[in-house]
Amino acid sequence: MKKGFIVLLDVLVALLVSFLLFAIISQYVFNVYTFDNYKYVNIIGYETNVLTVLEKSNLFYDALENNTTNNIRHFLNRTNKNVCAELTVYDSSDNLLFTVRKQNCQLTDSYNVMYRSFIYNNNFYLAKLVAWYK
Amino acid sequence: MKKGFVYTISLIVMISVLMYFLIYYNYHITDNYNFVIKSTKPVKINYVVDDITYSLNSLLGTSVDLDLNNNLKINIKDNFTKDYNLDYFEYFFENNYAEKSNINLDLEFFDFSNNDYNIYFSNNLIYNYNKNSKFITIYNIHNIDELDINIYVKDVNYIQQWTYSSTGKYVKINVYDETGLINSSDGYINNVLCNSNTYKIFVSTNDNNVILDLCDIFYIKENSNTDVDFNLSLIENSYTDDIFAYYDVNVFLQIYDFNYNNHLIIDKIRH
Repeated sequence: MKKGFIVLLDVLVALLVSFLLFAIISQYVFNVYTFDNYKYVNIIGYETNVLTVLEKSNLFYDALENNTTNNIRHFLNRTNKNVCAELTVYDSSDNLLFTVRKQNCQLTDSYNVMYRSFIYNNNFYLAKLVAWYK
Repeated sequence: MKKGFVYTISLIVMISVLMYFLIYYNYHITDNYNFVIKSTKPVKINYVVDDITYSLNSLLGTSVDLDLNNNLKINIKDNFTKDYNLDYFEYFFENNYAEKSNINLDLEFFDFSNNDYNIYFSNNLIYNYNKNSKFITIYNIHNIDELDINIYVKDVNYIQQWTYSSTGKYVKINVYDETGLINSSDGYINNVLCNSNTYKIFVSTNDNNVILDLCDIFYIKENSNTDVDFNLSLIENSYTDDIFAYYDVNVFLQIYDFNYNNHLIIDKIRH
C-alpha cells in the first residue's frame, strides 16, 4: 500500500514535470509564431495596393505638379480603418519632399515598410509607405 | 521490481505521447508559418516587376495593354518625343531602389538603347521604336485582321489619304490636331509593296509630313518635326492562345532566398 502510494506519487510528479516541460516549450513555440506574424502578410497586401493605386492614379504626379498632398491624404484616410499608414516621398538624392500620415494614427514599434518608385518629368522618386495595425 | 518496471514503461510511454504531440504541433505551426511567409514572395516579386515596368513605361512614354476575349486586341500608346537616360534608370533601380527595398536587383538591357528599343509579343509581333530614324515599325503582322489608328499631329495642314481596296486588313484611322478630330476614314488595305500606297499627314509649319504605311509591316515615319502621339489597336480575330508582351530587359531579382530571373513582362493574359 505504501509502495503503491510512493509509486503513484512518483508518477504524478513525473506527469507534472512533463506537463510543465510541455507548457514551457509550447510557450516558446507560441511566442515565435504569434498571430502578429500573419498580420504582416495582410499589411504587405495593403501597402502594395495603396502604393500601386497612388502611382497609377497619378496621385504622386498631382502632388508634385500642384504642390499639394490633399488628394493623397484624402485617399489614405479612406483606406482600411484598422490600418494606419504614413507616406513619405524622397527625390533621387534622398531629400524628403513631403510626408502624409493617416488621421488619428500614432506610430508604433510594430510596422512594415514598402517602397515604390515613380517618375515625374524624367526625374526619379521613391515613395516610402510605413503601415501598422491600430 | 516488476511493478517498478511497468511504471517506468508507462511513464516513458506517457512522456513519449506528450513529446509526439509537441513535435507534431510545432511542425504544424512552423509549416503553416513558412507557407504564409513564403506566400508573400510572389506578391513582392510581382509588385517589384510591376514597379520597374510601370516606371520604364513612364520614362519611355509608352504603354501596352492586352485585351483577350475571343479576339486579341493589342493596344499600344506611344509618341516620338522622347528623351530618356537608361543608364540612370538602371543605376537608380539597382542601387537606390534595391537598397531601400532590401532586395538584390540586376537589370540587363539587350535590344535596348537610348535611341532604339523593341517590345516583343508572344504571338511573334515585334514593335520597334527608333529615335534616330524617327521610325516606329511593327513586324510580323500577317495574322492581324484589323488595325485601329488614332494619331495626333500638331499643326496639320492637309492629308493625303491612301487608297482603300475590297480585301486585305481592315483599317480605321482618326487624325486629330489641337482643334480635335479633323479626319476619319476606314476600309481595307491590301498593299503588296511598301511605299506604294501611303497615308500622309502634312503639317503647316514646314510642309513636312508624317507617313503611315501598311504592307508586310506597319510603320509610322515622322518627318514633320512636330508633336506626334498615337494610339494603335491591333486586332487578331479568334485568338486561342495565351498572350504576353515584354521588353528585352532581363530582370534578376532576389528576395530572401527566392530568385526570379526573367524578361521584363509588360502585360500577360492567359486564355
